[in-house]
Amino acid sequence: MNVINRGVRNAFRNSVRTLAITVIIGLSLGLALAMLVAHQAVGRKIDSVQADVGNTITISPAGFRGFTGTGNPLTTAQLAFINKLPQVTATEESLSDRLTSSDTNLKSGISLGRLGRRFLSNSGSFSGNSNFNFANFTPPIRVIGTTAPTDLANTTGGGTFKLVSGTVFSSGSDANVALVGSSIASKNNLKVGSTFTAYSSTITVQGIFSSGNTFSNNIIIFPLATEQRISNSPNELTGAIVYVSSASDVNSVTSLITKQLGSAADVTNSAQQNQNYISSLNGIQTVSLYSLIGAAIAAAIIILLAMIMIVRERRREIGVLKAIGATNLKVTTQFMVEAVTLTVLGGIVGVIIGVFAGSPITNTLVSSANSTSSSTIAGFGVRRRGGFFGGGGVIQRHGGFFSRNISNIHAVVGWDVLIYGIIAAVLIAIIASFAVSFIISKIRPAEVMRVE
Amino acid sequence: MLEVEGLTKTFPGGSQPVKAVDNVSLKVKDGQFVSIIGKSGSGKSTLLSLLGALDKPDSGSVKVDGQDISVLSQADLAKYRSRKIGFVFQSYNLIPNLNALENVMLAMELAKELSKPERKERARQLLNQVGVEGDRQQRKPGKLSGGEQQRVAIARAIANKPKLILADEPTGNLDSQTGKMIFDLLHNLAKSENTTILVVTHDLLIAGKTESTFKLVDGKLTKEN
Repeated sequence: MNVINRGVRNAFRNSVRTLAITVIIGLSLGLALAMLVAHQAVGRKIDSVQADVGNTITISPAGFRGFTGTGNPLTTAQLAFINKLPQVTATEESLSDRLTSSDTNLKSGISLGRLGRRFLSNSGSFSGNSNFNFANFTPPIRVIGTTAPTDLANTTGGGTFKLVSGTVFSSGSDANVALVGSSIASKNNLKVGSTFTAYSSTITVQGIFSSGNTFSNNIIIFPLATEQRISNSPNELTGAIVYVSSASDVNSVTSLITKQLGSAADVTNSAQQNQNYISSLNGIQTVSLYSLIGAAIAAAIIILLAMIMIVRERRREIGVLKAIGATNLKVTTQFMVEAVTLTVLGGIVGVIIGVFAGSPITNTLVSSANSTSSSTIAGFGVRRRGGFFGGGGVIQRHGGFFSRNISNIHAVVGWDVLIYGIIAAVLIAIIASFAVSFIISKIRPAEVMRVE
Repeated sequence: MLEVEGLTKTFPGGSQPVKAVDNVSLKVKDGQFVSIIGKSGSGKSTLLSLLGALDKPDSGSVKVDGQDISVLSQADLAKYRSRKIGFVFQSYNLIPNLNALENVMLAMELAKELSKPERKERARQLLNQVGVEGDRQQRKPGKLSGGEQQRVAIARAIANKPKLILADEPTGNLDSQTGKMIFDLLHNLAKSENTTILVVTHDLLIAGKTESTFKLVDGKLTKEN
């Protein structure tokens, strides 16, 4: 029997003590692993949020949002500097407008409804005209000229672009072509190749798209240059979205653009708007990190105290081993193996606890944080709820994000967590053993002569 | 040959240091069976610790086969204890979670001179020699009687064919009949293996049967016969 076998056997020498130490270490390591799982899950969520929405900047004319507010359009010249910024990977520019019945021969794909009437009344357009006949009123059709025709999330404020028929024009096109939303196409019997009038120009339907929502299906999408030309708005823009290479550069680039455009534009970024969400996730991550460290330290202290207790209890036996020729190294190795065995047993229990407790603990942490962040998220939700004419027209990169629930975080226990658990257990045991080895080295062989 | 010259060991006391071993000198030839008698607290165990390299003397020397053990390093001392010295203790001091066979094998493992199968075979032979046979060799110390445990301790002490066996009250915890059997066993070993055996005891009957007897009083050693 060698020193390793003796160490392993010693770990099972007192079954009650072995069980107690294993359970206590298991609970500590289990908590540490559960916190690691929570830490990783929240970290992944933060990465996902930052990767998903955190690297974009939205620019709109100052005081203007959709078709609400006032102000002057931006120009392509004003935004030209943005593409020269090294952190900027791409920009999408757009010009929005509405086609009234005098601008087009098309009918809107959706009816005015009570909301539309209320909006029109509240807007002041028909105030004082109580005889206005809403039944005969044709709602204007929203049009957008854009360099990113298929990016409905940006151009229209939501939906997934699905080409029903035809083709998509290129981003730099200047032809009199358009992509028509399925609601308008259906209402006006338009097919690919059909023509319609807009701003006194004849436009050919190049494609018909569906977005999955009625709002976006009632839009006509032109190439940006075409819209600028036919609407007699050369070089004008009502919005732009800027893509930055790294989420960490978003704030600095936002500052640069804000400084450059001054009072001409409202510049916002998703990072600012998501700050509360990210903050609460960061809070969870911090709590889980401290808990992870605390639980790991607790496990280390437990095994250290347990080994000190065991060594003190076996002073005489250590004296015997030294008296019959064992070196300090040999005795220490034996106790180290015993400590590693106990801790690995605890580690296995801890891994099992971590696997089962990781997800519930993560959910508990997230739900407690959710209660503090939900009001902020709801606030954004209200702001996005635009009126009949107000929701679109401006590039909105934040669509869909705020509808996500903060608690939509998946705690996954991967192999890495299991391996970390066992490695942590072994490291803790070795560190504790080194401390114990000092005590062992101080035990004199003559201890064996002590009569109890 | 065991040669002790001017051995002194002092421990800090309450008001003044206590000289547990005071300028002790003695010589014991190979194969001799000698005893040291003395009252409790006379310094017997301290002297044994110094002879067995379990403790370092304040001054003086202990030579075994001409080698002064007081100048050895920690590693060499461990080697010395495993190969040259065999201990038999009053309270047996077997490792509780190893069985009789494993306890004897452990001493040989630490000496690193035999392979595992050889250690096992020799341990079996030694236990048979001291009268611990059959399934008793597989029993842990807690399942053996006091006499059997002391036999296992003797087998362990002689496992590495030491030059010197130091026995501290080897019959102290045994009844008189078992004590006599253990004494006879040690006596026979001294003759058959030509091993020097030094027994510390306060049992005058046992001391009277050894070839030479020393008396320790307040750390000072005198020869009785």
